Amino acid sequence: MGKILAYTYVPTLLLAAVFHFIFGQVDVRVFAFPVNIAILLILVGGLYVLNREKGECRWVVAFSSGYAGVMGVVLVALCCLLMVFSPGLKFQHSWIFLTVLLLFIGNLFLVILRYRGKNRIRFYLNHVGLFVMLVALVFGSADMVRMRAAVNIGECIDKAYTQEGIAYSLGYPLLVESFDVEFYENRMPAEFRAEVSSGDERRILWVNHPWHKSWKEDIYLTGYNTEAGSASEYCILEFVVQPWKYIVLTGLLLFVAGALMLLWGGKYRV
Amino acid sequence: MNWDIFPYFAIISMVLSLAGAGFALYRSERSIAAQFLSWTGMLVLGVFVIGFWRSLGRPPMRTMGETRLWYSLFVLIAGLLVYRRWYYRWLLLFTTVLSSVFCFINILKPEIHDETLVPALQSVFFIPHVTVYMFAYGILACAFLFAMAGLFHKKRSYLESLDNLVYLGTGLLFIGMLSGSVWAKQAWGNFWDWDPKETWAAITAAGYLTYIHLRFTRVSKSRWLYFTVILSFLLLQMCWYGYKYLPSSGESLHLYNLTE
Repeated sequence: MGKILAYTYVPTLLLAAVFHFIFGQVDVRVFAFPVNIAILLILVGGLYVLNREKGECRWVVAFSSGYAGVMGVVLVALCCLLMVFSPGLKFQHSWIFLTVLLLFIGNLFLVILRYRGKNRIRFYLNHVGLFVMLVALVFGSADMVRMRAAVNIGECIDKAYTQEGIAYSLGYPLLVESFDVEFYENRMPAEFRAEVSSGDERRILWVNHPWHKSWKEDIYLTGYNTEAGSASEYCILEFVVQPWKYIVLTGLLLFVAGALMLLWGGKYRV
Repeated sequence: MNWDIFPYFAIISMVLSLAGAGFALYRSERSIAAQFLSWTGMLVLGVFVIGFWRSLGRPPMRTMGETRLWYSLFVLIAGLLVYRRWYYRWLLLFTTVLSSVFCFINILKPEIHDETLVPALQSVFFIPHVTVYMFAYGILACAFLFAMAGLFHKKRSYLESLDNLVYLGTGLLFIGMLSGSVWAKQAWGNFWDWDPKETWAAITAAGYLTYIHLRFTRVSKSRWLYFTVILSFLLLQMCWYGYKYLPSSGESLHLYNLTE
């Protein structure tokens, strides 16, 4: 089984390294909707058909085994170690890491399809939760847009900028009506708030309290002129568009339920 | 109740816990005295934590010293719970020593503790996220001690208890990580950003997941299983405080200690 897995993982990762050498880092925007959906359907559809038609094939057995799970987890951990020890590499944007994640997702999907063991509810909650969460985070990252705008108090804006400096239309006007900072006695900021409005809607933004503008968009207050304090003439707003947000949350809730069952049951009791 | 009186509470707690550990060590049967003394030691530290919380006007979870305080308390609690479950005579001594080491660090390295709490920490997720993580660290410290004992005695018999501790600790780790993920979305806009602390949390979870899945493969030698738990515990130390000493930590959004 180890050999089959090595024959699968090593060439796949080498191919990813070649991609990395040729194309550089992954440009996630290439995989934005509907490309990400198409790739996801091909991946899970292909594995589903393969499992149904060739379920006894040695490769399918090996790729859906606990060994493949361990290999996937260890590979993810090794990639993470590279990220923390060499942050300059930005390994999280590499083809190799993307491939490791896709192999891991594929392994999870097959394991879910084939599981016939004990403690099924706990097993499905943990594995389906992790699968949904990973799919939504990996495939959904292509559709995520983060934009910022430094807005003068009293100013109305209708566009914001990505980190690369690309301007996006917000699709609505946003007015910053007022801004205020509260300080502790030692002059450390305790809280900063901005009152914003868009048409008839009006909200107060502060840290940990974004405005859920729509099912996919949230507006955050992220900064201000710290030297000026309450007299800051502007504040910084961040606009996060994340269409896969609720899918991530669904996976996350399933996973939390699975983790709770892990606490309750331990290894031998459920 | 301010930080100046911490050494008194810490020393009383340490003495009581150590006396409890001594009873546990020298009594072959289940020792009620050991449990009573350990509970009392834990209670003394617990009373300080509650009083300190009240005097600060915020949860004492911001600085490293404050998280060490919780860790000292939760290691004692975890040790006592595990002792009540399996009655390993040596366990209370090790958890008491571990807790005492962190208390001593806090006595020798007093920090400035004030009421300031950066805006990002003012969230409903702050208390559950930190306490769940600290309790996980306490449970996994016990798992580490079991793995060391198993490696030292070259026996497989510790694995069953180790399994239960790792399941419990990993379950708590995941709840901490997932609650942190929802909090990150609320505070910073995304569930996961590959911040150094988050990345170390993923590495730590991967370590314990490797152990859990290796157990299902049923071919791994016990010393490799013990080694996996020991390595995972070392990775956990990196996740808790070690990451701060790496070059990548400068980018971390998790550096809240304004007074250090």
